[in-house]
Formats: sequence, structure tokens, C-alpha cells
Amino acid sequence: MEHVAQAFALIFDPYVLAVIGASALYGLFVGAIPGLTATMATALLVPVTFFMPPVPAVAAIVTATAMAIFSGDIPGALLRIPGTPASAAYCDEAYAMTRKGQAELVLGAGLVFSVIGGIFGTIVLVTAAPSLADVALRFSSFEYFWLVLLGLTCAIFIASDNVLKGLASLLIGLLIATVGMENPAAFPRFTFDVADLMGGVTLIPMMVGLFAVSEVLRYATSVERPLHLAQEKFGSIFAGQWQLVKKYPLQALRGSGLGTLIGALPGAGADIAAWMSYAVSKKFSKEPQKFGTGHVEGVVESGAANNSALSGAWIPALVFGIPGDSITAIAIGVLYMKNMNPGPTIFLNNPENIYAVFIVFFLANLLMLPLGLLAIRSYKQVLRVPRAVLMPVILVFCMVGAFAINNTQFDIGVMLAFGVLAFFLEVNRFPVAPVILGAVLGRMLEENFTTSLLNAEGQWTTFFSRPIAGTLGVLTILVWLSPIVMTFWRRRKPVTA
Amino acid sequence: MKIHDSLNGVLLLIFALAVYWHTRGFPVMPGDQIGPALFPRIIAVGLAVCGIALVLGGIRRRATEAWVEVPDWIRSPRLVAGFAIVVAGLLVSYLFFEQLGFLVCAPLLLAALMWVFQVRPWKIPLLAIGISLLIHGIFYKGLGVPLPWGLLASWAW
Repeated sequence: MEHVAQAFALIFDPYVLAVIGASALYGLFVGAIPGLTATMATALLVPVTFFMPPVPAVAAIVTATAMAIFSGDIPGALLRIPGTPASAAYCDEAYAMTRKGQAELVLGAGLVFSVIGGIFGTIVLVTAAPSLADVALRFSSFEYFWLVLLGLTCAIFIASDNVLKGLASLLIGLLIATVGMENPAAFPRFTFDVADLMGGVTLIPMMVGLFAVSEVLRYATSVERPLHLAQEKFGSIFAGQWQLVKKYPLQALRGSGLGTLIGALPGAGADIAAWMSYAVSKKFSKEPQKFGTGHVEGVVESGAANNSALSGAWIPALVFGIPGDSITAIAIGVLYMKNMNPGPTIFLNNPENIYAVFIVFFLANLLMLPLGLLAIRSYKQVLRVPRAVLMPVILVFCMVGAFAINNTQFDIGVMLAFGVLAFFLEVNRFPVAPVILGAVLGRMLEENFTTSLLNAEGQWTTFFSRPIAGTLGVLTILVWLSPIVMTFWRRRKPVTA
Repeated sequence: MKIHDSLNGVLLLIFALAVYWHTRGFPVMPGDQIGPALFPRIIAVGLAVCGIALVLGGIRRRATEAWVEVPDWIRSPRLVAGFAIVVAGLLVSYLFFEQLGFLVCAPLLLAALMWVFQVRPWKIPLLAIGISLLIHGIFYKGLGVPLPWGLLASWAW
């Protein structure tokens, strides 16, 4: 209880509240601009959080991402362009509703069910994380090895449509993590005698390059189309929302539940959660024929799912240090920077900081109601910000951010290299998220692999001899075998089409 | 630039071989199989497998896909200039950030990009200098990032 009181004191401090307010507005803005993603919002925020104490730093990221995932719905409904990938699943549906004159209803539903999903995910996070941490305290290198491997496996099997390319991206990420002297033998690998690479590739410039510079490059190489708002003035946004809650309680709950679960799976984040929830909603709907014609049911379910996924992703991130999506991958980098090393011991060493993070989750989701309303009402003004000015400014921010982490111009080069890499990976349809997951988890994987190998003393069965490690190991192998099983399954099944 | 999956596979394979070849220089721990080379070698083998699989998968579709797909933006000088300025601007900053200084690099990069993104010419100098000073104020004064002064060192404030 004493820690909870401390946590409240940490949050209800004028400086921290100001940071939360500012990051909320920032998140809403970035999410609402087509072409700027929630991941990019996080990557650009990190250099600023670098100069903050741990609690406001994490609070800034949590708040900004929650807001960005909601506000991505606004351009989806009004321009038919999803503001963030997480809104893409129901973008057409939302736009169809706007065309039917139901813009208020769909924007309100996006907002209200984002809040419901976010709070649901937070409740699961608050209850599940500490008890999982108790279990995780007894984990040895074997459990961690399999857990990381299972996480990375899920990332490529669930999150990418092409397993082969996902695997290639992941391996590139893992390889990046091997650069430098931070390995069990302390031997400088792949440093090519460059002093700046001895400590490894700095994560933050790399992330800024992957997620922000690549976006600027994409903007620079595409023709800007004028944006036409389908509707500019709105009536009451909250009218009819209570009826929706009463009409679709099961959908909201199912979306939130599935979203939290998918978010908690390493590698799959809010966008996958929204796609899957939309599909589930249509499958179990009483009126599936209405889907796609401007029907609110799928928006309710997947709108709740993407925000709950955001909270769910923090469960493995905080408990095991294994990110649930690319946003938490960046957040984990911040936690390490702030000496709040994620892992089960974080609940023993810094309980007040963790409780403070939980409070921020609730606060951010509640703050979303008034600020989200403001964002919808002022959307016309938001769109007035010329992207031809905004994009160059973002690039200069990237430059300063990359420089600021180590105060070295070398990191600007790192950022540029990864920006160009991400640009070409995406053109050739290699997913970028596995690169960052591999880079963040590479050292952890190698360390636990090496330790386990030494402890096993040549006995491979030792990897499966502890109950939890064995289960995780079998599970991982099953996921790897699934494509082969699926191929046989398809061959045996007679072709009906 | 989108290239054929088989070519992507070949590139991955070459990369994997180079990585593996490079790890031959890593020291071997006496009496132990686990040295610093083990993990990168496993990755290299994985990349090689991915590369070969992409080559084989691509061969089946070789008729339907072009070897090299030239993107539309290459045909527009303005879009090519946009891409080039982003890359060149960051490259110059990577090489000469300390010597030139933030307040030289940033306004030039901003102005060049705004020009290619077709911001009205009379607005460009105002925006480029104003925004650079603002960002400088936030990071240098506000957050204490030692942004280099470079050429403007004698005017430092």
C-alpha cells in the first residue's frame, strides 16, 4: 500500500502531469496525420524522454501511443486513409459510415471503445503482470531461452504474411545485436575497428532510422495528393454511444480480450489485433452481410482490440523484458536507459515505479475522452499543418535525436543507414518489425543460449528437462512445424473450390 | 526499387557467406565449442537457408515478375531530388556535423527539403531559420544537448 501511495505521489506532480498532457496532444496529432504512425511517434519521443526521470519518461510513451492508436481512426473515417496501421482493418467500414451520414457515431464509437479496450487491457496488465513475475522469478536460462525464441517465432509466424521474409528480417536484427563487445567472450565482433561500434549499434538512432527516416523517404518519393474531408462539422459525438455499449457488450468484451491476448504475444501488436478482431466480429455477427456497408459492429470490436493490445503488449515487456510489439521494443530501450531494467525483479526493486506506470495507463485512457473529442472537433485545423513543412522538421528532429543519445555524429550515420535499409526492405516486402525485435532481443537470446549450453554439458535433453522450459520448447517447435503440417493438411483435403 | 525475390535471395546468400567467412577470424575458446563465433554462425546459416529458399521460390514465379522493377518516382526529377536531399543531407551531417555546426546543417537541410517539397519560396528562409532556432533552443538550452556550433563558434550564445 505504501508503494501505491508513493506511486500516486510520483504521478500527481505538476511536472509529470504536464509531460502527460503534452505527450497526449503530441500523440493525438501524430496519429491523426496520415503517414505518421504510432511507432514513429514513439521513436521520435525517445530522444526527448532521454532527459527525463524514469516515471515521466515512460508516462510520455504510454500516453502518446494510446492517443495515437485512437486518433488514427479519425482520418480513417473522414479521409479513408488510416492514420496508423492499427486503424487500417476497419478504415473502409468507418468511411462507409461517414458517407451514410454517421460520422459522429463512428468517430464516437472509435473513441469510446478505444477507452473501454484500453482500460480492459490495463486491468489485465495490472492483475497479470505481478503474478507472472512471481513465476518468472524462478526461471533459469533454459526458460528464458525458450521464451525469447517462442516470442521471436510468434513474431514471424503471426505477424508477417511471408514467413521466409519475416525470418530473414529477424535474422538481420539478431545479427545487428551481435555487433560490439557485449558478448560472453567480450570479443569485438563486426566492429571493423570502428571505436563507435565497440559498444554495439546504438538502439535509439537505429529505431529512429527504421521508423521515422524511412517515413520521410517514403513521403519524399510519393506524390502528395490533396486531402478531402468527407465531413468538417460534427454534431454530438457521444450521442448514441450508450446504446452501442448496451447493444454490443459481448463484442466490446471479446475485442478487448482478444486484443489484450494478441498484444501480449511477442511480435504481434495493435494492427494484427484489429485485423483479427474485425474478422472474428464478422464471423460471429448476427448480421455478417452488413459488414463492409457501413456497419458499426466491427468498428466497436476492433476499435477496442487495438487499444487493449497496446496495454497487453506491456505484460511480456515488463515481466520478461520481451517486447510485445515494435512500440514496446522501443519502450524497453527506454527502460534500460533509465536503469529500470525490465524483468521479474522490477516488481521487487522498483515497485513504486511500476505502480506509477499502471496509474499512467488508467490516466491516459481516461484523458482520451476529453482530448479525443477535442482532436475530432479540431481535425480540420490539424490537417492544415502542411506536410511539406512538417516532414523536413521531423527529419531535423531525427537528426538531433540520434545525435543526443551519445553526443556523436556517428549515430546520425547509423540512423541514415537504417532509414535507407527500412525503405528498401519495405519496397521489397520484407517486414521491418522483426528487425527491431531481433536487435532488442539478440543479446538476451545469445546469453541465455550460451549459459544453457554450458549448463547442459552436451546433453541436449536438458533444454527440455524443466517443466516450464520443456513446455515452451515443445510449443516453439510446434509453431515451427506448423507450415509443414499445414501443407500436408491442404494436400489431403480435397479441393472444393 | 523492387527487385525479384530470387535476386533478394542471392543477395542474402552472399551476405550470409560474407558473415560466415568473417567469423573465421573470431578466437576459439580452448577445449570448448562455444566461442564468440557460434551465434553469428548460426545466424549466417539461417540467412543462407532463407536466401536459398527465396531463390527457389522466386524461380517458380520468374515469368510473372520483373527482375528489377523501376519505381515510378525515378521518372520524376522532383521526387528523385527529394530522396537525394534526405540522404545527402544526413550523409553530410554524419561526416561534418561537428565542423559545420547544427545551426548550419539544420537550416540548409530544412530549406533544401522545403524547396523540393514546393513550399512557397518566400516562406522558406523564414521557416528554415525560425524552426532551426526553435529546435536549437529546445535541445541546447532546454535539454542541455551539446549541439555543436561549428562554423558559428565565435557567435555562440
